[in-house]
Amino acid sequence: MELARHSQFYLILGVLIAVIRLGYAEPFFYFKRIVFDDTFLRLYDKGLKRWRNALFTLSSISVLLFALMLTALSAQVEWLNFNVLTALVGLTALLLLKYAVRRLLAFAHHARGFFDTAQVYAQSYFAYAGVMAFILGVTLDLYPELNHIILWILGGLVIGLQTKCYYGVINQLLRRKPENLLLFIFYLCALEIAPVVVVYTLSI
Amino acid sequence: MKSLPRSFWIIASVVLIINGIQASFTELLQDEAYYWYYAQKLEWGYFDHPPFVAFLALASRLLKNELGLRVLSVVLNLASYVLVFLSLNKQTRQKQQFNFWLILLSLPLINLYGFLTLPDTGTLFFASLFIYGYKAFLKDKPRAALLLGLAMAGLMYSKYTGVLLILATIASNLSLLRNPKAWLAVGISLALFAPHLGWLYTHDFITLKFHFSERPNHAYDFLNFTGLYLVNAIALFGLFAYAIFKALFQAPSQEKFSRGLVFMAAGVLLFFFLSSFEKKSQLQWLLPACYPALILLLERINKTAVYAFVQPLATMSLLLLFGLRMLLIAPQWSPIKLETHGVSKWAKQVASQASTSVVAFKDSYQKASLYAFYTRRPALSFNTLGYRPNAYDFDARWATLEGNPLTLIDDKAKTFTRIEHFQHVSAQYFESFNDVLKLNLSDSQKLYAAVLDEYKNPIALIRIKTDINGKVLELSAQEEPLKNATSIRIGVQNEDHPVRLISLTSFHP
Repeated sequence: MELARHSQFYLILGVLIAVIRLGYAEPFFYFKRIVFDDTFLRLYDKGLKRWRNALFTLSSISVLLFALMLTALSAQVEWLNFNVLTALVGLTALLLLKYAVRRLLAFAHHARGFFDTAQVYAQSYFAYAGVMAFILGVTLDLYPELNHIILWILGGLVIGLQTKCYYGVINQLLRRKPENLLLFIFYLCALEIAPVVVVYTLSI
Repeated sequence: MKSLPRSFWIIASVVLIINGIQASFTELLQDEAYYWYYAQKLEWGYFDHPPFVAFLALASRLLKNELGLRVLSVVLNLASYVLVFLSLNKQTRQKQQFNFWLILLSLPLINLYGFLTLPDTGTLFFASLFIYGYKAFLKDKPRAALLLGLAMAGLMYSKYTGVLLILATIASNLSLLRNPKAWLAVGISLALFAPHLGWLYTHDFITLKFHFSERPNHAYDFLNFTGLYLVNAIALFGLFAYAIFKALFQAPSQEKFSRGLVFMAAGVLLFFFLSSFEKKSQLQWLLPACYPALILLLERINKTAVYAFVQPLATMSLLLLFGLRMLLIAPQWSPIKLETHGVSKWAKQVASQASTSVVAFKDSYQKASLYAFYTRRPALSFNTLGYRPNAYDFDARWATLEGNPLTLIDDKAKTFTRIEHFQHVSAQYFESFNDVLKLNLSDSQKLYAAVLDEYKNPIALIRIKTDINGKVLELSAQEEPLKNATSIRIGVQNEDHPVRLISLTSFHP
């Protein structure tokens, strides 16, 4: 029953990704290459706002996918304890909070343009990680016994993409506004790394 | 105190109530349980820390639950907030009261230490008293030397690193060395600290030795040592990190009090930055830098870019920290199992499986303390030769167990071993192999040495040779790795027991 319900969700999400790919062929073409080529990010950042809907939908799909995967993994991994509701609410709250903090810091330190770029990078890479995780999610749904391997791959994927994302942001920064580098490093440590370190320290 | 506005006390009361509730409903951290164990027998010193943390846990003797262990910390933390507020200039106090609370409670560790009983809780309180006392001292107020003396002794009674604040203050104002009142303060603090110095002397300075040379370490690794330190130094101030570091650099250097605060914050941060090249840094070690940095930021907050955004930034921080606080008390909502989750349940489960009234946990002073706290049954830490000594090695209950049954619990391996006739050998100080030669062993006892690497981690376990009468042979007759070792620890094996550590410090054979 559990498997069948998740399979239906994955089917719907798969169809949604396919629809976006067909409906937004050009942005999706660039989107799927963001790890190797930053055309999508450059064009989007320069105001190609008609891609906004596509990116927003892909981000939402990512939230749903990660929520499903975390719930499935929690049933099998001792130290994880998500259900669909906590995963959905937690992920959404975390993303909104990070977005809000980025905006606030941008205003507070007169670095709005730069943090807008950081937001585009963060959102795009998050959406990309979700699409990449789709196959992992389907595999987990079909072969739950592979949970440990999938958890490691998922962790590696998220950390790898996050690193690439912030590497891209720092490169942009060095090119456009090097004076904000320190502020961005502070932001990274305070909001991206430190909470993970604190929770890791408090976890068993 | 009369100068504090009513609104200040209202907010302070709300904070006190929230921290009190949190303290009651959050199960113990492993280290807190260890300090509860300290408090069961008050001493002037303990193996791993000076004694103030045991005093903090003292109320737990009357109120036998989490709140009892933490109530003094909750009150003391609030007192430290008051002292920090009083250390601000009058104008800042009048205009920035709300921002004071917002920024203070947005600092992640200040928030968490508002209800936890740990050595740094005392450090925070005495740091605030020290700052308040120093300001009074500079204004030549009566009794300022007494306050300073009390604060300095308290800092040292809480954690030895408290000395950093004292040294930094002297470095910022060398004229203190010529000031008789400053020397009076030093005299008072030394007089108050003398009992602990006496304890250290009679215990071979074991606490200092442990922190300076005995604590197991690892080879340098940038990410885990210096890299982690850099993250910690920013995490300490949360979303206000950038503004606080900027304030540190822009503080007026000609004014003695400001300069003192800059030296205090920078001194702590710099010391641990340098120490990060030698050992792994922990976030809470940087706590003494919090209050001086906070005061510096608040004194010039209206001149900073962040001024207009204090409220939304603090709201974000408080939301994050509120989330973390909720996760600490509500395992059912937490996506990850945290240290405070299911502790009492675990203790009761273990108790139901133990076949003796007294249990010993293999290599876990924390688990032994948690078990004892939640079950109110006696528990000890059985330290094997691969582990490190701790306060349980001084526990007088070991001797009373001689010949009695004992359940040895290995919590990692989830095994329960019943030892029918426990045999006790007291832990002691060894200075050289000659001290090992003096040991009197019974027929059934075997002696081992753990050869330690330069980081005090065991690399080999070697049986120490004895003659047919059980007398230990000279070092020259022992195996090569033992003869060539730079430092070793000694352990004894009694019949069916694992090899138990009996040397309180490592030594060169």
